[in-house]
Amino acid sequence: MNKYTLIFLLVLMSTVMATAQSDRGGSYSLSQDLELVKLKSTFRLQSSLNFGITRSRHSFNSRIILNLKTNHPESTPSPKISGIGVGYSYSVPSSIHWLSFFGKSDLTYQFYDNIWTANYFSEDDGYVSVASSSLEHFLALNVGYGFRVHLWKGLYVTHGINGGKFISLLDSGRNITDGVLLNGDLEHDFRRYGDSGWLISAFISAGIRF
Amino acid sequence: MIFPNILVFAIGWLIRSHLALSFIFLMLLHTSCIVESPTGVTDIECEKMKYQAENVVIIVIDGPRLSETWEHPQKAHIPYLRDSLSPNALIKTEFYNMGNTYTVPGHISITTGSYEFKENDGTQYPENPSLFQSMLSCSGMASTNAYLVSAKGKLEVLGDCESIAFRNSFRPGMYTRSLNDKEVLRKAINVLETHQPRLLMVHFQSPDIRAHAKDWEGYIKAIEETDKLMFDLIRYLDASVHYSDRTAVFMTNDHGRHLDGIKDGYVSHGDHCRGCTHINFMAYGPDFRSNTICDKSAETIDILPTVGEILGFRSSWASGRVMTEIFQ
Repeated sequence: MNKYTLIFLLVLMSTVMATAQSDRGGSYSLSQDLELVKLKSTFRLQSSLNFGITRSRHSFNSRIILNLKTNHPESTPSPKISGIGVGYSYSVPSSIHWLSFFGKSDLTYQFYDNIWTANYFSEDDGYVSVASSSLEHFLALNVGYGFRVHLWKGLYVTHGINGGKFISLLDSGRNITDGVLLNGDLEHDFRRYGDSGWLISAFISAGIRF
Repeated sequence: MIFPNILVFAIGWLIRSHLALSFIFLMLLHTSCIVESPTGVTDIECEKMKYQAENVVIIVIDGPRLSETWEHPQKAHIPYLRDSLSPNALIKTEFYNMGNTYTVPGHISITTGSYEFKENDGTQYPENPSLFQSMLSCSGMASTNAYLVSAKGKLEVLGDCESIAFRNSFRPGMYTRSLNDKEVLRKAINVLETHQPRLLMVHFQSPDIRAHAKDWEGYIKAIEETDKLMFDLIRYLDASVHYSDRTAVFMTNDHGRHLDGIKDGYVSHGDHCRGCTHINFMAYGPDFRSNTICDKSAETIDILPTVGEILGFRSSWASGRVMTEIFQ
């Protein structure tokens, strides 16, 4: 199943859920967020487009994640869609009408197509540049909390903090250099955070409820 | 009326706490980005070689204390360094590893010219390129012209780095297997004869191994043995047509050990006590001062810039300096 199929299924699932909720008097929301994620010795800056449905104090949302920047060597040369996520949040109203708090949990799956450059020595040509690509699968389960400021009509901004556990898997890589064989022991794994670990993140978002 | 006020106060407190937490998070993030400065600025400047020495051999003896080597009153356990080598070499009496005093980080400070706080188990590559990669990158020579021979497999990480510009590239020839020190010497001489590398690092491990085993006599014997092995290696270089009078030799340690009375004494190492940080240094070669005891302070991170001075490269990431005081 490629990533576009996954995204399609996610949007389809959200639409079905939203329609079901709408029949019972729920509301929709659309928001864009910016999130800084900190893993061991690595940070990632990502943005998500969220589509949510809310009924009473319960909200469900699905999102498409865009990886903007990372300090890790796998850094993608330009922002690109890196994954999807689903989440749940529970709102706690406050006595101030324009403010509410929420607790949340989400599950995200991301994929990073990493490019690894290298060279090896050839008696005839000296150092020859080669490159390979490898796919990293990144699954994270987070819990967090935050607050939401309701600005005007359905507009709102939120800010929150997440923490959770991740699992990362890296495949063995593929040669992407035409006509040149890779030397056998090319290292693909420069992840500083290993196969699993903890992450924390902070996010801000702006959205509209309708 | 009191309850809503308390509620408003509590909400205000929650928001302030939340913003404070966010601030701490961002500061942590910022700090980590500075400390773990990613794999970015790795400019290297290549220069013409201007010294008589055209080759460099670095001998690293793993973990003897200075108190059993150069600072021993009679220097009884290093007779070859005392009698045969030091009259023709420069000895530094104030030489330090001011980084992490474990084997892998200690070696990384020598090979990259920067203190990096990496794991000691060989699971993390250095951030910065090594002197092997620097030399090969500038010279364009085959990878076997830079070679590492070590008795500890975990030192294989010295051959590569995380720097985007250098990772997986310009990797040196390596022989890093479980060997005893005599086999290390044999392999090193074999490499010198077969590949005639311009840059070779040889790592002898037995003083560290015997000390960790709480074997004082074995530790002393290992120091004496590595003293002899170092002498044999230099004698080979002096007798070699290819290397004689054209080779700079450095001898140092990756770390020392705790002095007596600190923790478990000679058995362990790893902190910033004087015993762990204060180590040996010898420079031997046609461009170095001979029969000289130098007390100008220097550190392991100064080795890469000094090797670069001889072999014709300048590495922007190295935080050490060229040890000009050791040259004639």
